[in-house]
Amino acid sequence: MQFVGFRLADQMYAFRIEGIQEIVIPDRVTQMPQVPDYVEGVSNLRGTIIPIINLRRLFDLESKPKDDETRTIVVNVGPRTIGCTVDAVTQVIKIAPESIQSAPDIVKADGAAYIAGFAKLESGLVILLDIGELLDPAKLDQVREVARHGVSMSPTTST
Amino acid sequence: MGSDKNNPANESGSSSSDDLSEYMQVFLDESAEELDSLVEAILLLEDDPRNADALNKAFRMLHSLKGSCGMMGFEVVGDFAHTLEDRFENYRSGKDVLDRDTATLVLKCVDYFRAFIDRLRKGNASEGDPSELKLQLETRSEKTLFIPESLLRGPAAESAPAPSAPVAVSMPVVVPTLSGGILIKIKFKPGLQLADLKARLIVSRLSSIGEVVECEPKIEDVRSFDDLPLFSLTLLTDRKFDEIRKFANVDGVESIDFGGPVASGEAAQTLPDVQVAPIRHESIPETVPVKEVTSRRSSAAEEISPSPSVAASTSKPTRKTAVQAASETAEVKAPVNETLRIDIERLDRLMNLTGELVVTNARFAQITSDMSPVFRRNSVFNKSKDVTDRLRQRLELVRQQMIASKSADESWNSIFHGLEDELEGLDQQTAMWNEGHRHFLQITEAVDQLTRVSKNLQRGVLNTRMVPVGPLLNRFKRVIRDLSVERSKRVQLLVQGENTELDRRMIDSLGDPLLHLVRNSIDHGLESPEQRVACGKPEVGTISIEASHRGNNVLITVRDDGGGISSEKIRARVVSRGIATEAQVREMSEQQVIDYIWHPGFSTAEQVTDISGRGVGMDIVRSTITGLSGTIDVASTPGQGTTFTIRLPLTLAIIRSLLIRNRSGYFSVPIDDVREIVSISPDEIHAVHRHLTIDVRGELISLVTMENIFDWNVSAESQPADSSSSSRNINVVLLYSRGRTLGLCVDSLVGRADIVIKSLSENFVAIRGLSGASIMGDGTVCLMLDCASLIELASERAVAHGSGRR
Repeated sequence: MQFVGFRLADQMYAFRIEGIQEIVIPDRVTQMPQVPDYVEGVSNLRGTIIPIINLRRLFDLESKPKDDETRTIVVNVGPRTIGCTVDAVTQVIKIAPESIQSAPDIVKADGAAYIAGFAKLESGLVILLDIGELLDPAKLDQVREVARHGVSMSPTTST
Repeated sequence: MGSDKNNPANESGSSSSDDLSEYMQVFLDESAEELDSLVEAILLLEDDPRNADALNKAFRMLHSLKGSCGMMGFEVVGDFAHTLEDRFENYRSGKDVLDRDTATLVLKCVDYFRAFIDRLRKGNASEGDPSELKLQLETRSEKTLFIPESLLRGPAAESAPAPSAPVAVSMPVVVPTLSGGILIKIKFKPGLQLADLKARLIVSRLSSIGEVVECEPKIEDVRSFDDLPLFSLTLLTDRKFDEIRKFANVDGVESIDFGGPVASGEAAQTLPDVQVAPIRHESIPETVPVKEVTSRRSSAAEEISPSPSVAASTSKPTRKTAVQAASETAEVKAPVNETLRIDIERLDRLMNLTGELVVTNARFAQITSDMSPVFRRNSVFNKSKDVTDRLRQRLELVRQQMIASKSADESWNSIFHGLEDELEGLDQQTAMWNEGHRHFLQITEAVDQLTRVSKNLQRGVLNTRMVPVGPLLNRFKRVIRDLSVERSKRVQLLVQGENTELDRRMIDSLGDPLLHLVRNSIDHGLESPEQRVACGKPEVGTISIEASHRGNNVLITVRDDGGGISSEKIRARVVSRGIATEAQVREMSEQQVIDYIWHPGFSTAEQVTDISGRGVGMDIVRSTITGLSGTIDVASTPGQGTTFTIRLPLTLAIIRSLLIRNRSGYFSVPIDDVREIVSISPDEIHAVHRHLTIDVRGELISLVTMENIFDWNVSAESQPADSSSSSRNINVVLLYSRGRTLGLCVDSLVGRADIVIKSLSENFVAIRGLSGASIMGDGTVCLMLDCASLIELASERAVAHGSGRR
């Protein structure tokens, strides 16, 4: 299976490549009112208006100004097109299905359905994320809640 | 579009093909239109049962419905349509007269068809069971005389008209048509080779003595027949039968017959081994269209062909669609335009692309205007030219001075030459600059041209979405007829402004709210005939629906001349429902009280009928209209009637807006929601109970800023504090919606723009206070404010916490 790896803080994550529409350098974002802080705003992707989710804020990590490495990963969630910003996109990774470990029960029990599994690579542990569970607008708030309580635990298993 | 020709009228050609689904949409739309026309005709016939036009129309619609059902393979429905068609054949031939009870029954049959179509639209192909209706129809027909039994039966193969009976009764039908059109049936010898060529030959020979208006099967389709035993056509001519026979009698023809439904016994032998349905059924109606051709050419053209000659006529299915759509607006026989059915999704896509074009164009315009100060003026060029000229003069001056003082030597000369060369180079640069300036002027010209073209294109594309409201409004004739019968009220419907055009998407959503208003008027508005007479009003109540353009809006009014809305009843109801207290209600103005009809769950119907009061309240009407970016208001005069006024934007796709800028970015506000723009100095802002308020010509208006009306969950890094505007005058946009005004402070006003609105919920979620977003000339996203919800938001905020700008 092919994944696109990306970095947030010092943790590696990956999305299944099938769910990704494209990866772009962040364009101007128009701020939106009445939305949680992890929504950066909306942006114009060649005539389509897409929301931009800041994954750092969604995972309740300390925010970091944009730099040359910052990327927006544009994904498809059902009929929707949504962008999410990450610190850097690293590479396309091939992971054999058998080397994917399912998420520990404790993570699952936490309601973190957006974590599809883990894989150990030479470069370290990669958390595989389920795009549909993570970025569905209806589930974002829940992801944030889980991340607030659960995220402190998962990076400790890494590096 | 190129496939129109293979949309066949015969059953054999297409029923097996896979692309039936392609026709399904056409079938559904056409059938719906046919049913509308049918209802219109029946309503006319109720008042004037011998109205030949209406009879023909009804017959035609049933006939075509039957044909298309057959084509799509809906046998039960097609069979039922056939039964009805037969009924109307009797009315048309004068053997029977449509009475009111039967009309009601026929309308019920229409309901059956409609239900079928609706089911199909939802993907349910069950044909339903019309046998009960059919039985009723047949029972009814037994009372009448002279109806051959066979005409009432379904289109089973053996149900060809009995040879003897029809001859006698059909004569009255045929005779009048003979003066103009003659139906000619040609039977070829069995197993004739190249029958299609023979048929063509006959058509061309007959064309020399008259006009061939209709062929069955169509001459273009003949090719596909291996075997063509029977061929019929309608000829407009003044020649005698014998003469025609001479022209039509080519080698291979076995017999030629004239006139209406089967004039001799030959049908009995021929028909069983022929594809019965298309030929036998088609052959009967041909006589009537012909009658129209002679009596009124224009109407016949609608039925038969834009050009009445069959040689020129092409695919029938498209024409039929075009004609019916155009002729839907009743009796006015306007020249028929060719139309084309297009999936509205395609138009939407086109609309979006055009929107992109306009935006890109705006970007070009922006760039050129940014470049203007540098390039546009000649002055830059002139100035540099001046400078070089002056330099040259000075150089010359220096040189002459040096020659005069005799201090010039070789080294100076080379310096002078060098300087001259530099000046030369500068001249060249200036010339290039000048060239660039010329090109720039050309670019600006081209951009201006592009702007014109793209604006026109946008308008053109918009126009393709605009359809007249006529068909929508005329649908209510039926509703009113049914309801007035049910409720024993006498009602006439006046429809005005049928040609007013509105975005197709809106037309689709307007049906239900209008229906509700009309029902409401009949049910609650109009009094019973006795009451009306007692009040000195005409016994027949009037409901009028009017559509008109008003600037950038379309107004639709639904007016009745009934008793008006009883504010007393509303007061009582409001109190009894606990919506407001007795004391509150007493203090309200009449209008305020009347506006309670929009309150959810409010209904003044004294008894729940199946007409109104079935849970669809006026609040739904209002929210539907609001959903279309429109407004609805009610005005009522006791004893004189009630008027509902619906105001809608011309189109949903483009919104004329005011662009404003705030530190958080650009916003747009629909121009229609902007009451006015005022500039105030900070000390004109008063805090009334901690609510910021301004005084505009004596009216106190509450004031909000973008920052305090919305929650901005933006992290500190991207929100610079900005307090520079505190001492200057503040621009306040007064937003107006549903009778309430709100002042919105803005940092700057950018100007007006036509905005192509995009939904935020398409890729994300709907956000309260915003109605969508658009893309600006520079590619950034601009949010559009939804004034109605903004005002609501403001009043909620005002309750929740006082705001503080200072």
